[in-house]
Amino acid sequence: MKSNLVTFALTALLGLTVTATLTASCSSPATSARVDALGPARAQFDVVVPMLVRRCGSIDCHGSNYRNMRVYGYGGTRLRDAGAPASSVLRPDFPANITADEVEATYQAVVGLEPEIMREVVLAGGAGPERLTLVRKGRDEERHKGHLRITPGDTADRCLLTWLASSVDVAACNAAGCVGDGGLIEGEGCAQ
Amino acid sequence: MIPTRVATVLLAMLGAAGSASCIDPIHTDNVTALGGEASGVREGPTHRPGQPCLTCHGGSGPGSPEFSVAGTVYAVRGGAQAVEGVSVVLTDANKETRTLVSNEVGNFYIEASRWAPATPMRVELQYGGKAKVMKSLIGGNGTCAFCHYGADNEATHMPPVFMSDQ
Repeated sequence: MKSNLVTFALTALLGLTVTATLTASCSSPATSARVDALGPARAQFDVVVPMLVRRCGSIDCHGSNYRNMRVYGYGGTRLRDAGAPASSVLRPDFPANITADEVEATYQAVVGLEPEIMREVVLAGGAGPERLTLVRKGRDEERHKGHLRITPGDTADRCLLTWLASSVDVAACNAAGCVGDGGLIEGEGCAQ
Repeated sequence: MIPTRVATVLLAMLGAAGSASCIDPIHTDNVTALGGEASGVREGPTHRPGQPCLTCHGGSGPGSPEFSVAGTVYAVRGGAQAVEGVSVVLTDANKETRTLVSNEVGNFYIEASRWAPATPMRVELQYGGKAKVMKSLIGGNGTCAFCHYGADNEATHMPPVFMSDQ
């Protein structure tokens, strides 16, 4: 009798656990919840993109349509206009520039990753940037398949953090993004 | 007695669910999509040129050994003529260098047990006194055909690895 009671209690507990797990997995955010996106200065992002493409945007990483954070530009995947003829399709290795549409698409991808936290960081004047997964992963402070791509204090880090503070360090961005007077510097011409 | 049977069934279901969760359907699909061996070609260093080597040799099977970097090199952009004897010089983020040499079907590879490169990784091809440096760095995937595959003039990938543009 006692044995049956123990078995019954264990079974009931198991059933409740399974039910609770299934219920939790089916819950979802309120459909009416909205966050007004607020990113750092869009105009300043033009100088940030080359750094992101260089450090993060290879085709096997964030230069991929399969990533939430998609980085478009020369050296990685290119933004394709669905209506464009095949002859005008940009290739990863040509032309050696980043188009205005690619900058805009990358901006939307970066700002939209964590809109709530991004908003908080921007409103705080860039304070506490490590709240952003973007910063933590780039610094390899959170598990990142691409490992360390942005070392705290280096040019890429200064570029990103100053942009988050809406006072972008253009020189740091150009150095990290391999941008010279004539535009993007290819491979061997860039020490980064 | 009934509760005991119910518990047994529940435990069996949980066990089955646990086992099923260990199967990676994406990996299985990727392996299946590669198809069978080409006629007359045995499994080995010369099989499946141009395919994404690490799909099977990436540690999840079914191929062995596991590679850290592997690919196939062709003579010209968009061409089908493989090149033997190309030196593929890899330099990882720690400045360690390995040189792989393509075989008769253009395949080159290095086992993960011999080298686990840190990314990003620089790639240079050397052949016949010429050198060609890949314009971007490998970010994290040692399967050359992950990015180098299919037709040219595509926005999202490069054509198979090539020694020269023409």
